[in-house]
Amino acid sequence: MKKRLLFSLFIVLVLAVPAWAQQSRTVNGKVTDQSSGQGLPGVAVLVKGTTVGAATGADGTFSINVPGENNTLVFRYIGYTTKEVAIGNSSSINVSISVNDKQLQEVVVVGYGTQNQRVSTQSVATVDALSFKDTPLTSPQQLLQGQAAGVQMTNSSGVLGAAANVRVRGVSSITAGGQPLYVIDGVPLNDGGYSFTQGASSGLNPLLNINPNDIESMSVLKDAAAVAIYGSRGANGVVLINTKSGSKGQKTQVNVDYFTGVSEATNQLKYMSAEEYRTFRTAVANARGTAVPSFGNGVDSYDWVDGVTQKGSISSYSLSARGGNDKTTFYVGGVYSDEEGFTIGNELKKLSGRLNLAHSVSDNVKIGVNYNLSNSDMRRVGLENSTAAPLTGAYLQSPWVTPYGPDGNFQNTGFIVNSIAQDALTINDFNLMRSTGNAFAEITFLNDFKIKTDWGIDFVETDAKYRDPDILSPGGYGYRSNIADNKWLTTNTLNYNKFFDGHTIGALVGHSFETSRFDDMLVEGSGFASDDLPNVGSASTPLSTSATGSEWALESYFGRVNYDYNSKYLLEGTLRRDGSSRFGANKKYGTFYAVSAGWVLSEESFLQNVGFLNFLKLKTSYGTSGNDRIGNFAYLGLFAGGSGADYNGKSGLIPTTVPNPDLAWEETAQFDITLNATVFERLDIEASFYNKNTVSLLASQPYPYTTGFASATRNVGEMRNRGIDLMLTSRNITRPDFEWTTSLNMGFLKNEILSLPDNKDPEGRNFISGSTAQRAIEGESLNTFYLVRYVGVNPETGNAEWLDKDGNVTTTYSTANRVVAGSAIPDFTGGFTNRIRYKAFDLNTFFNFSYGNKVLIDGLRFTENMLSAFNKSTDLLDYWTPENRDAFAPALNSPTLPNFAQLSTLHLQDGSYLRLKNVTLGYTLPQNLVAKSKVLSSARVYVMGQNLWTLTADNFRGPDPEVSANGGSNQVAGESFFALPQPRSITGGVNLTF
Amino acid sequence: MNKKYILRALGFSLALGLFSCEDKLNELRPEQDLTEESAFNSEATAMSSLYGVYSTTQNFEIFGGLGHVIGDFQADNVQFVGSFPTLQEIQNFNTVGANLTIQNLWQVHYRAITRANNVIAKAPTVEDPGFTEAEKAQVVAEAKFLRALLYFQMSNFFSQPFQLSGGDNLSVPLVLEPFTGEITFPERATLNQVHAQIEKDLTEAIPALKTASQFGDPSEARGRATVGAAKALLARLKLYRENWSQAEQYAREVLADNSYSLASDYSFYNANTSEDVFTIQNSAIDNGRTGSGGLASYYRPAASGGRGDAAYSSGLLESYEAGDKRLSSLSSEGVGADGGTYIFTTKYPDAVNNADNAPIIRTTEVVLTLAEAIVRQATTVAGAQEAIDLINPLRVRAGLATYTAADFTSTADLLATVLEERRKELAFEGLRRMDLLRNKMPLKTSGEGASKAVFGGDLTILPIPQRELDINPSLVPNPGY
Repeated sequence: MKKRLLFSLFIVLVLAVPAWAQQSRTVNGKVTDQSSGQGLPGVAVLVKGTTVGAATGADGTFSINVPGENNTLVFRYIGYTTKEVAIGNSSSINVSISVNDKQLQEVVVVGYGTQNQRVSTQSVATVDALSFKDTPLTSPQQLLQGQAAGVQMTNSSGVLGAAANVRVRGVSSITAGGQPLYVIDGVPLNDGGYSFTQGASSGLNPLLNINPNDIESMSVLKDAAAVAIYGSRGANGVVLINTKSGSKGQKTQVNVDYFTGVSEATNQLKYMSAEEYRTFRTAVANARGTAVPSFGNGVDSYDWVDGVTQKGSISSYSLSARGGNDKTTFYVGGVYSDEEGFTIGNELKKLSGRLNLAHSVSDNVKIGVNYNLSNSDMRRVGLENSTAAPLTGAYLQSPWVTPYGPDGNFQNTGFIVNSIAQDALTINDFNLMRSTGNAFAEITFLNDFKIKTDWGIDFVETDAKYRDPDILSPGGYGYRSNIADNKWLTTNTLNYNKFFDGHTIGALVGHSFETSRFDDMLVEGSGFASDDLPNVGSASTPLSTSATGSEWALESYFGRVNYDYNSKYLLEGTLRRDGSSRFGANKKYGTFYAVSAGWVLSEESFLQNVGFLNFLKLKTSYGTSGNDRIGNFAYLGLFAGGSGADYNGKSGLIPTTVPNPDLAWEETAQFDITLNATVFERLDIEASFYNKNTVSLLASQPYPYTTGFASATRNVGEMRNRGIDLMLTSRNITRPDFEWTTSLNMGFLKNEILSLPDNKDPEGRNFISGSTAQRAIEGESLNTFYLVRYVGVNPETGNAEWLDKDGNVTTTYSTANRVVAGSAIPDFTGGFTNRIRYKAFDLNTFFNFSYGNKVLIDGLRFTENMLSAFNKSTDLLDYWTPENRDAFAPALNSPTLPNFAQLSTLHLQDGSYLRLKNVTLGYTLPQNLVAKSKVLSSARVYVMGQNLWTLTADNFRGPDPEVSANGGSNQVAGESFFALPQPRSITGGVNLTF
Repeated sequence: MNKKYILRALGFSLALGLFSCEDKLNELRPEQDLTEESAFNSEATAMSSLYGVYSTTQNFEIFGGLGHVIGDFQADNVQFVGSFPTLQEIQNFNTVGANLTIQNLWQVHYRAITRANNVIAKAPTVEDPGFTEAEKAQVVAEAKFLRALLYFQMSNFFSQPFQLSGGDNLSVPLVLEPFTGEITFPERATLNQVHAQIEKDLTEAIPALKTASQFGDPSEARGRATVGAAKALLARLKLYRENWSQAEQYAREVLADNSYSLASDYSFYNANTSEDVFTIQNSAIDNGRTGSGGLASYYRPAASGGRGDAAYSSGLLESYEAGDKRLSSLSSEGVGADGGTYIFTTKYPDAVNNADNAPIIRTTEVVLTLAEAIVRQATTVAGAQEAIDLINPLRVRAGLATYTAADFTSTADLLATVLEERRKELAFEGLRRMDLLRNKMPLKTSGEGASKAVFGGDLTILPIPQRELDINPSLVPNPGY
């Protein structure tokens, strides 16, 4: 079908080429920028009503042959207001055109360039600065949630700085990295793991150090036409972040933003008081004829959840200035923010500064630099998947255990760490310094050519410092870990743009080389003379002294050609060839491509008279991209030495991987068809259908442990992501004193595993396990829950009951009875935004939603374990007795009681939700008042609430349905092990412009 | 001029970008790893690969803690007051096939076994003039000893004891060849087959192994495979198989070596003395905090830096007579994981660094094996006088009165005493579970799960991990799971 479509587009294109007009006269002139007076190169000059056109040269001059009768010239330039000028009798016409803000929004940032949205054949979702400029944010990661159709962003934890799970049109990998590639001003960011195991299980937010105020736009590249230019790294989508710049001849504008706010947990799990706990455990022991456990002195009680939570806080100060003269433009921005989480011990301070500078050396030579230096200081808490995390420990700690001993001093509470003592005494600091930037020079020559060389760096340095005091670790314990991940790259491109007689041809060829070195160092020791010696150097026993390093390199050649005829018929082709050090000699190089075509139907004469239709475009693309995110040397059989292999002071060697010289890129082929329309001048519609097939998946093929290996990375299997992206934007009211815009975006996704390596379940389907609860199964989704089905407590017997494989009720729990129990991948996700501005007031509400996904609240297995010493959910108090037959938990003497908490669908919940993510109310001070100040040009005050309201499924028993404790993991989604819920916050702030 | 300069710079950078970087793609090599070709190309790397097998056995799942812990808490020596669900399940005889702790135990044992297989197959092929045939044979023999030890521990966990059905029951798959890249799906061998392989590996190893005295350094003499260690393991195997005469013979051969004798007090833990026949040598860097813990992390209370999970059971406490130094000098009181106050062993004191050595075979065990083998073969108490003479030094060391033949009414009575001494001596060293099973005694007589802990009970042995059953169609699960 798609082939036929492409063919018919081609036919239309060929037939539409008209005959040239005969008579003509020549008109010359110059096009300049209205504000700077500079000549503008590349402006399209068209003779109205014909297909005749020309483009201005480097100095803005043009020369055009005007056919006989025609008398009007049209000047079109991306980002500028289109201007029509009557020729009259003149043979020379000079025109100045002005920047059009609305038009600027129509420029879309694509790989290695920009395109006009109207004539682009790529599927790119853009989040521009206008859509978030009034929203106080500390990380741009949040901008990806609910703002772009087909981009599913799930916050993994409420821990400060936690990475989110971002999936662009579904995840295209099983084992290899599944997060999109982030590119800032042309520099692909390093995406190593920089976090020593602390905080959320998901690692650190890769955009932690980016100041949202510096961002001009974020483009999410979705279809093959858009991502193929990133070749081996495009399969999981690409997020392009372009930072702000000044404009020529712009008066310097200074912005000051300040906001401050408070936060708390949106919700908590249930837990027993000391009294409830003692009564319950005594009742269990009596019913089962076992010894009543010890409860200390029998009277102590402490509310640990209350003890480890607090009112979180945030404040942020930012200052920026932008402007320029006729040769030089600049943007400088700086931010300092200070956040404290709603659990103790969790703080994040960020300081970041940016300088973007561009200078025109001459009319055709431009040089510039974009540079960001940032520093994040964190106080971290224990890993959520450990009892050292404040909230995890608080739910599990027996409520009669107290943080202070009888002497009033902190006491060691054992396996469940005393996180209150930890907050007071343990050093758990993390510092991340990042310098990201690029310098470029570009030269325009022979009017139509532009050559650009761009050199970029991304230097990441981290420093983690940990020190436990004597009370928590006898003798004291500490470590220090330093990581450096330093990348540099060079990108050299040649651009050609030619406009003639209605034909626009663009071509890009380029070469890039990118290499990055990752080094880490760890020293760890124990045995300190005093808690007052904070550094590992004071330890008596060295536990680890480690230093490792690794390097990779990628060399690429790429090209793109586009053609448009009269902004009506559009064609584009892309090619990229990548060579990577990560693959063996047999598979070092890979080639990726895309072809796309578009048809702007609204430019056709037969649609000119359809009054309500302002714009209509149909486009389609097909192409490939890859994924190289596996270890650096996964193709080699390796033997490791070091402290993991030594024995009795002698160096050892242990085999770690199985050789696989044929290890190759995985390849994703994507088909896309998209319809863009604007109707009634107020409603924008974008609807896409896509089908992504990933073949030769880089998957960890599980091996029987009897081979000595758990798995090996292989190119095996095939997976499909198919879906629909829908975006609607309606400008309901557009009066000068009253504006109201509504936008809705939704992404529907169906993920299906088509084939996997031979590894059959009892039903004969191949599968790969992600977690104990979750696996990828042929014919099902990548994130399929595979669990024993829990039925409930039998009102007659008081026994807990499950279903066996055939669906018969049984009182025996067996993992052999596991079946497919749902998917962690939502049927659809999206966002719904309303922006209202009435006179000086603005109101912005943003909802996001997820539907049809399951989440596993794994912590319930611990808090609903009826036998353990952990604290428990108060739900267990509703246990079966002859008087309470409709009970949640089994009878205390039931033989099924020990298995009640075994992993089953009891812990699986409907993860659908609708959340009022953000509501902002602002007031802009009247202009006359502002004017009195002499210096201010505008002032706005606002208040914002985040996560104020959430609608969850009935009987949802977790703290928060928005969870992905494993962060960016492909194989484990929608699972929580005491992951912190999202914070509910209220923030107030002020924006001032000078 | 400006323009010319910039053009030149541009041209230069383009050229640099295009031509200077090509080779890097092919030249980059791992920095922390050797490739397969270089791992067995010299005596040094072959020796390192052997040390790599020892190193693997230091893991938590083998001799780093879990093996010992299960051997005592899935029995009557340990009151498990910890809360970790997968361990609690094992303690309560409530385990399921998906138990991750057991899955890891299986995984890491086979990891070590296949690393031993690698050494056994490849060390003889190393071409290095300095690497003599005798040295190669010793490397192979040490790997075979380790393989035998690993299969022994695996068969104890995953199969019913010899006593239930004479060893024809299923045990674990026997994998003896190195992994070539081709995935195999081995079936479970019978217990007799596994035991036969253990015996074969040990008897083949003995001629090439060094004796303890041939190693100069005590940590080598006690921490490497030796003739004494191999024979002591054979004695244990024969004891478990009720081949009393061979158990006696191997035990006698061990004790004939003057490298092995009873220590005079209990300060021998972690000291590499004549008490140690085979002891895994741990240091702070082997089992540090970044690993999964160690023996002390389970056996020491919070105040010492442990989890306080595994306390003395009340039954074990009651078994000690008043004044028994095996209790008084090897225990301390502390707060357990559930907040209660318990008695904990001090055999593994270092919960901060987990650097305690892991005793695998002690001279005392060999003495007790010899005593038991003698009693089993004796028809009268008088005929077992040597056994009484063997256990009396243990009682003297514990500060207790000695026995005479008159104290025992029958050989069964004497046997019970030998077994009781064995329990008290070797508590927390991982042997209790098998001592109960091979004597057809229940693993536990009271508390949660006691009804399932009887001899022959399905849940007295561990489940074949569900993951392995899922992947390897040749495996059959243990009944009851």
